[in-house]
Order: sequence, then structure tokens, then C-alpha cells
Amino acid sequence: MKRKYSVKLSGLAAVTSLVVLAAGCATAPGDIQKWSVTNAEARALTGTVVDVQCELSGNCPDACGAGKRQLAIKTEDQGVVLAAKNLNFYSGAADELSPFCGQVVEVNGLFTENRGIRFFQVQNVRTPGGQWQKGTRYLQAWSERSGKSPSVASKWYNNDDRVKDVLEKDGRLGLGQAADDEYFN
Amino acid sequence: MNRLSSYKHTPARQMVSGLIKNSKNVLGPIVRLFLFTLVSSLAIVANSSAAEGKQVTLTGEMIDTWCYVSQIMGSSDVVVGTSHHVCAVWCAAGGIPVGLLDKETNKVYMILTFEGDDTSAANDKLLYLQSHELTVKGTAFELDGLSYLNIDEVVSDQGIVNLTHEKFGIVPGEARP
Repeated sequence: MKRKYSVKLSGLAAVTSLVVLAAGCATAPGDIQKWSVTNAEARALTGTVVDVQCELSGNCPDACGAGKRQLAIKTEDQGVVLAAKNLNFYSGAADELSPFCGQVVEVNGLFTENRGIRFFQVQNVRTPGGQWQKGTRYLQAWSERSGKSPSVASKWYNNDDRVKDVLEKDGRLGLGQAADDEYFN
Repeated sequence: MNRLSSYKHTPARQMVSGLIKNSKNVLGPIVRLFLFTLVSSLAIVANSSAAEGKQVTLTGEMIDTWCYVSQIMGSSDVVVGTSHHVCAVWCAAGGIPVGLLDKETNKVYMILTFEGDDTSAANDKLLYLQSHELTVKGTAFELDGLSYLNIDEVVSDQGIVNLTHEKFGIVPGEARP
């Protein structure tokens, strides 16, 4: 019974990934992709790119931390909206927005509010009236930071040395290699 | 953090009280009221540039906030604990906000600093703590509907105690070896 449920969930995740991939291949610049996100609403925001920590404490590094800080869009009508996600798999929005630190931008993507949390997924960004840039800059930034070839960046999470170190040390369940061996074999 | 309530303890508030106290003998009540209103307004404006935090001690799981909120890979019960550990590490490495899911209130705090390190996106230290249950001391902030946390100290690390893989398997499937 447990195995059956597990297989069903894995299948669901695979189908979700395929739908997202298919959607990603079929959009024009500036278009908003549909992801199967709970309470998702396609939305555009105009506001200033800000570093959340800077807003809260006045601790403000150059270039909004250059990819090392959580960033947000500070709007007139909705306050500070945290940009938690971009268009790549398993990556956030810091690298998408840090080049625009302190500037007014237009962003579009998916806004969701669930469990008392409101998040924005940045899909496209531009300065007002400029060309849309897709929210996929993370892959290039990862390649530059890690020194790895851009050809392996699309599956960066399987090629990232930090991730490999954690998983080698703690296992995929996080309970140690012995627990992994017992569960997966 | 309610900025008005935090204002109660600021130097600006003390300055206002001092001015009112010292003006009692020389100014009439209307002038004192005007002075109070003016200085209070200025103090609130000055305080609005940075929020004041609240000291807290919290116990909860370190989670991948995107999957928890978006439910893109399943319900929020599935995308925590061992079943989602690999994805939680991926997402932390990729710079998605890491959160602390408070055991007592089920409130999620977005972690901004960790023991003095103010790297809040892809902080290497947090990768090793994903899915762990921690008790932490720190400063909590509220800003436009979200809760944020600066962790000053990890009081205890219980390790991973939420064995969700036993019920849900591994999510997503590509996290399997």
C-alpha cells in the first residue's frame, strides 16, 4: 500500500515536471507560463528592487548582495513582495533581480498566497518599456560561480558540489548512508 | 512588527516625553498638544525606514518554502521531512528562501541571517540543516504580511525527526538515486 502511494506521487511529480517543461518551451518573451501552483494568479508588478534585509535592518551591501540576498519588489500598493522563485528548476530569484538593485522594474509571473505566505515567482523582468528578460539568469550565474560548463547547468542541482557534499554526508533521506542503503536497495 | 508598538521603546519616544515634561511650566496645553503631535509624527516617520524585531525562541523544521507554499509537488504535508530532503537541499542551494516552520503555531519564518552570516540566498550552512528540527534564538520581523527571522543562535539540533518517506515515499521522483 505504501509503495503504491509512493509510486503514484512520484508519477504525479514526473507529470508535473513534464507539463512545466512543455510550457517552458512554448512561450514568447514576456509571456507568463502556467505552473501548477496552488492559488496561482498571473500578475505583473511595477516597483523597486530591494534587499529584504536592507529594508528591515539598514544592512545594505552593494548590488543588493549580488545574488546572496533575498530580494523583493517594493510596490506602492502591495508593499514589499518577496521574490522567492524564478523560471529554472529549484532556484530562487536573487540572480534575476540583483542586476536591477535599486531600480524600478516591471516583473511578471505567478503570485500565490497560501498558508499565510505570499510569494512571487519572477518569470520575466525589464526596466519600464525595455526588453523582457526571462527569469533564467540563474543558470549562467551558477555556471560562473561554480566554474562548471554551461552545458551541465540545466541540471545544475545534480552537478553542484555543495549539494553533492551534503548528500554524500547525510544521504538522500538525511538520515545517513545506512538508512539510504536500507530504503533504496 | 507593529511599528507603532515598537515606537514605544525608541529614543524618539523618550525625547518626546522629555520635551513634554520640560514644557509643562512654560507652555499652554494647546501648544503642548501641537508639540506632541508634531514630534510624534516625525518619530514615526524616522522609524519607518527600518522595522524593529522581536526576540524569540522557536522550535521547528527547516523547510523548502517554495514547495511548501506552492504545493507544486504535493500537499504541504508531503514536502517536508525525509520525503522531501533532497529537494529541500536543492532549493536551499538554488537560493529559494529557507524557512523555519514553527512547531507551535505552524507559522513560517523566512530566514535572513544565520549566526551572524547575512547571506540569505544559498547560504551553504543552511544546506546542512535542511529538514532538521532546530530550537533557535533570534529576532523575528513582520513586513507586509511575511515573517522573517534572523537566527542568532542554534540552541539545539534534533536532526531529522519528520520521517515522511515512510508514508509518502520520495518527492519528487527524480530525487531518488
